[in-house]
Amino acid sequence: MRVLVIEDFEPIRRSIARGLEKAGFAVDQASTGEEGLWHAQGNPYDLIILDLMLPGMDGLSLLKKLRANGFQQHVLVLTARDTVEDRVRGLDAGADDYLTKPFAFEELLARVRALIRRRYQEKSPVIEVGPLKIQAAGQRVSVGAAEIELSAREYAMLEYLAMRTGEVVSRTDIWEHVYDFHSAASSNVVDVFIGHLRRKLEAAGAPELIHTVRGRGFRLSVQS
Amino acid sequence: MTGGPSLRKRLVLGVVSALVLLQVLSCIAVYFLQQRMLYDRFDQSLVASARALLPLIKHDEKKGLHFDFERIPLPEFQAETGSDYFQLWVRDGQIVARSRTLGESELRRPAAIPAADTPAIQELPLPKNQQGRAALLALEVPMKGPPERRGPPASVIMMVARSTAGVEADLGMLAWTLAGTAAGVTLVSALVGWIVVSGGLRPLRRLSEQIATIGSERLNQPLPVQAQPIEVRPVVERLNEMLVRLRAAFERERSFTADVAHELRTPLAGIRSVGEVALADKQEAAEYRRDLEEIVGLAGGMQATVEKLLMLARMDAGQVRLEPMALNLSEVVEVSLEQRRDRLAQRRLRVEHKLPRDLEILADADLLCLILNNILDNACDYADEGGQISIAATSTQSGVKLIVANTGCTLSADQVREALGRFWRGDAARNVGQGHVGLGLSLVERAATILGGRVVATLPKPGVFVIEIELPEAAGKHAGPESPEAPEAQPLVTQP
Repeated sequence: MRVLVIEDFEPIRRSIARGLEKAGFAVDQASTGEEGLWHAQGNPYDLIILDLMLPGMDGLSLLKKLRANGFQQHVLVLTARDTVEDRVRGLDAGADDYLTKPFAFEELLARVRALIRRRYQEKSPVIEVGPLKIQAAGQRVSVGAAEIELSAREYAMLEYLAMRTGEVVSRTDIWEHVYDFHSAASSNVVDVFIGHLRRKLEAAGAPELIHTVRGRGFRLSVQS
Repeated sequence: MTGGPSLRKRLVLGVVSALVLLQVLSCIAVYFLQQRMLYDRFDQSLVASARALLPLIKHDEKKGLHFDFERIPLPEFQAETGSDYFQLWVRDGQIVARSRTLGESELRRPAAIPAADTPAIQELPLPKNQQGRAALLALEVPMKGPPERRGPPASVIMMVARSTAGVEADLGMLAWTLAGTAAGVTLVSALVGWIVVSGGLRPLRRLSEQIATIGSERLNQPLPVQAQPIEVRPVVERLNEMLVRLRAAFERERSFTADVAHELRTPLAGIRSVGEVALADKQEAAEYRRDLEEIVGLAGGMQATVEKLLMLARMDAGQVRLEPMALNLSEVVEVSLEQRRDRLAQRRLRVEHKLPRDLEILADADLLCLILNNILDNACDYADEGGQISIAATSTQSGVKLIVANTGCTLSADQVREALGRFWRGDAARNVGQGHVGLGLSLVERAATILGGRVVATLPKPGVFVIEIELPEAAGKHAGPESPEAPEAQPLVTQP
């Protein structure tokens, strides 16, 4: 999943980005409102983490602009201002969640996962597709009783396909949601990782779950 | 409500006291007027009685001077029923006649003889232990008879006396009546006064109730002025003005508190984020070291913020103890610049330093250093890279003016005017001038005020930010503007 972090305080921005990357997310960073807006409008983020006190265009203005232009990405507002009025203003402007600083990183991560599940209308933190079980909280993947070891990128890709179970997902789509802005990788690398995933699932005894839809992309489902 | 003076009691007491005083004075006046009137009438009656008796004084050849008791017209002189007394003397003191009401007693002979036909009144004791008043008449009674045998007239003194018990009784009754009436009027007026004053003070009570409802959440609701009595309106107007100032002060405090919380939460969030992410996964030692260094840096920034806040709080509370001493301004500036040499070099900033070598000021060293350090930190961090900082000083009538200017200012003139406000920053960027939370120039202003000076921030031309600090100067230590050593003050930075 791809996340945009818009925060001008560098230590927080970098630590959030690092933490999310370790959790398997592709993360882009912006330190000003204008830069954040440019990123948000140009890329299909699964989630935007937005600080309100930004230089130049502040967070609320950015959020209102995004919503006014029809951008529906989930937004988690991150700010030191915690009064009821601040929360109401943020949520009324179009934020999906609100977290005050200082915060526990684990909580931030949990909220990020919840918002991404919501984006894909997944109520449960555990996604099951046939014998395949993906536990997002611990990034654990198993086929039946057998647990499968996946790299961060493999997991991110599988999780994205699982969030859109039954849908045809293009290579570009996968690439845009699994790789960050500065990544040098191209969408071709998606095929490589899909191949890795298929072999690992097969080795664990799973039936064919990742299906190629010629000319369009891939689909994760029990039936082909 | 307990304790304290009561306006109502004071008013009622005042009115009642004045009323009582008036009544006492009136009663006294009435009493004495009545007393005088009664005694005048009494005396007139005595004189009339005396004159009525005069025709009964006979003087002839046969009987000599005698009194015709048979023809006394006034029953009050009769022994059984009489209340009046009379006595007749000749001038040598011999008693010619006495009224039968005297019995065996005599009236006291007058000490002074009145003039003829001019009645005199005197007080004297009467029989039966009575106190009385007497009318005296002196006259010449001619002898009746043929002229050739007529002797010289007899000089006689007639005294008619009467007891004053009746008058005194009347006056006593009057006194009691007056006293009773005054007391009654006083009580009634106290009651009426209490009711009237209470009614009169009702607007004050209503105002007091309205004021009691004013809390920190209702400071924006002024008290109605037109509904108040005219005498109270100035008070209400001043109260409303005070509410406006109080509301502004509450807003400033709320805003300041929110700003403090925000400025401390952000580095705290950074410390927590960096620490938790570092602990979330195994990483290389160098990465751990980098994270720890970052945490230490953030903690240092927080410490600087807290210390600035503490300093501001101490200055606001008047807890800063001053130890003024004569300080060479040039030396102090050089020390401050030396401490920032690395930063200046890092940002490639040029410094123009034009201070008279012998310029001294009388100031607390700590506060002066605080002023210079914060101003120079500000200039170092906000000047454009490769830009210029200039420092100059000049004598003024009241002291010394220190002027620090830097290029690269991106603020507008309006923003510059606000630059001395607490937690004010030109932009919210925390990466520009790491550690600036908008307190440095507030500290400068506060410290300068405590030193008896003032601070002004200006934008004399676009891009050039100037801070002017005026401070009192030590007496007699400066070379003076005529000295060739004193440079002409050029406070403005020239553009490269």
